[in-house]
Amino acid sequence: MAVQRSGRAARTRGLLIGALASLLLLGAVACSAIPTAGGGGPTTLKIGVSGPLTGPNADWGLSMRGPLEMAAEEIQQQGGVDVGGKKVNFQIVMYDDKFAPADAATVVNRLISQDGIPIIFGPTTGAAVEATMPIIKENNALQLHSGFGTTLVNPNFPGSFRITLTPPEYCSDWYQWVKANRASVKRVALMGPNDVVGRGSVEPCEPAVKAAGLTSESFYYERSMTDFTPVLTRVLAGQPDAIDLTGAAPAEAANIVKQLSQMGFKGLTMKSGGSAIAAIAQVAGPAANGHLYFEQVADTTDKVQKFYADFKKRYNANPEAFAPVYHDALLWLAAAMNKAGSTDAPKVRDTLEKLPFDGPYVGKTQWGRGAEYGIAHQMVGAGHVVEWQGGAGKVVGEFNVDPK
Amino acid sequence: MSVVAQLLVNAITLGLIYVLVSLGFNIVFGIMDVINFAHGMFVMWGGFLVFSLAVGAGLGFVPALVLATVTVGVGGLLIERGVLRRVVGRPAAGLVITLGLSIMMQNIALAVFGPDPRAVPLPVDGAVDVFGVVLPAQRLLVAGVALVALGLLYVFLMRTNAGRALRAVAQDPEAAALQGVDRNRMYALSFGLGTALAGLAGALMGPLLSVNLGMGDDPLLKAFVVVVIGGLGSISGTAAAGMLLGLLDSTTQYFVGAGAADLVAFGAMVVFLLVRPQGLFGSTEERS
Repeated sequence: MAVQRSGRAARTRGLLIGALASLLLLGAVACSAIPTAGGGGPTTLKIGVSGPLTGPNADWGLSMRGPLEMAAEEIQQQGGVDVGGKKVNFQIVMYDDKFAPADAATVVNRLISQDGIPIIFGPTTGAAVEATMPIIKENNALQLHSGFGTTLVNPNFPGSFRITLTPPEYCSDWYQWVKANRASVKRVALMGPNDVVGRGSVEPCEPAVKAAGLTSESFYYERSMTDFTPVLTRVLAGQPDAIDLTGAAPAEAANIVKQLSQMGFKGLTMKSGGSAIAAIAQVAGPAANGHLYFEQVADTTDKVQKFYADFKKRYNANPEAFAPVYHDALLWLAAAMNKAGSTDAPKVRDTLEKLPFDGPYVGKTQWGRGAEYGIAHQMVGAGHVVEWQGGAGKVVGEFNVDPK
Repeated sequence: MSVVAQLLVNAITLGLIYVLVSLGFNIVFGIMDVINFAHGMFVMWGGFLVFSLAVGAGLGFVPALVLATVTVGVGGLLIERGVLRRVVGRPAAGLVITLGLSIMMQNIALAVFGPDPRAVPLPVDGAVDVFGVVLPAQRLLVAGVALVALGLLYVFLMRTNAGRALRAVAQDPEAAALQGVDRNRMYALSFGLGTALAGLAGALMGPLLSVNLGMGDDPLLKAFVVVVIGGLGSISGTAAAGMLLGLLDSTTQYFVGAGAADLVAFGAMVVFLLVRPQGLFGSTEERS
């Protein structure tokens, strides 16, 4: 049975291959600008953001843009930041980087060169951060990102700071807690995507699991994957007591927890690298009960719950767990400008790196981990182990990340 | 035994989804000469529609599945009438237009449904004991529905006048037109049918995985592989290649690792292009 004329087979086959190549290079599609509200005071300073606003990771971009806009409005309502005797408000200017390194580099170049904005939040995925760090350095700009990866806090790139905690900073604390509080866990399967984010999350956890007296096996999957059952069949063959989806993106983690349940897995699921609990609870339903996840800002307090509710009301989406961190990071930046008496990126950077901060959501925090990364540009502070039970999270553990 | 059975069920379910997606892709390609870059987005819309109808509107899964499939097919038909008919026979223009459509459809879905992934409940849960082997009931149900759909498609293409007319246009549009077949109607039918199959695949994937904005990306890439291995325009080749790819994917991920699955799939595509460019069931005269 055939539904194609044979005479055009060779031509169309060539076209098909060309189309496939184009599809694989789709990331080169031009960026779309999403200018956002803010500012309005005597002086308005534009703050750039590079993050995904379209595609399957658009929720991450919204969880960057939303909190920054909310923080900018709070600053405006308080009359602006005092910078050298002048009041300054912020306007958030975000472009869509599609979660792709090439697009992120384009976005950061555009923000710096065309828009004249040298202070930039994001990107939020490791590969994209890696692509933008040299541009930040070359332009003596300032970057506050949230990418996972052990090379993304780096003395060769002094303009880049990481505002979120990542597994290398707290894996040992996490697995010491698991060992002490989940006695049935002896074997752990670590899972992550096969890229800088996944490997940057899984690999640092391997020695931490071992140091806690547990055994581990690591598994990687491709980002494009939607059906995880084949790889989970392999994972379950090792009979793990717990499966840690440390580097998985929200949609991936949600699918995996759901499919593990379908396959009859009765052990513990957890996500030491970030939360993604909104997606997991949404997709996995009751299978998410007992799931452990990490939160830099515990979402169980009234204050944080209100922040989440405000976000949801305004943007019609659930915020990612890192959303309050972005909110506080803008306040931290404002405090640095206030202290520096300048909005000049190098001066703000030099002040910021010495400035501890007490944020409304992240609490007491500072820059640290200089011994580990060679430069103390990693945000350190409290971390929480949260258990999902009956439709809500409950903080079951807390630790403070060692600033050294 | 249990692992082998599990791998087989994985392979069959995965393969059937690949077959559904790839058949739609191949029918459109074979008849209209249009490489539908937006095909994965029709998969995604099928998923979101089944979610909206089953969860939002409270219909059962099966009515939601049928309605979602039909709605996506009608949407495809309208797109063909409004846009693609003008570029039939101009593959490069069709490629660019469907690329634009793909981006538009994803961003419309983002605006309508939001960025969060969604879950679609199935009427069955748990596991089924088949000769001592425990198999997930949901996968068996999805495999069953996909098989029924493929059976109906076969009957439509082989036993109905519209199906014969479709095949006639595919083989020789001029001769078909001389026999009184309305080519434009056949183009609309092929695009509607192709997109309905994509919508059905998305609606079936929803309960097994989750409904999200990126759910059509991987199936679209796999459709390229299946179409090359199965043979351009070959229905039976597509079915065989889809099942073969499901088996390759499932076993490679288990025995070697997930990262190797794409390597094997695209490696197989390259080998076929070099050694048997007409695909599994393509005719040898195509070589010339």
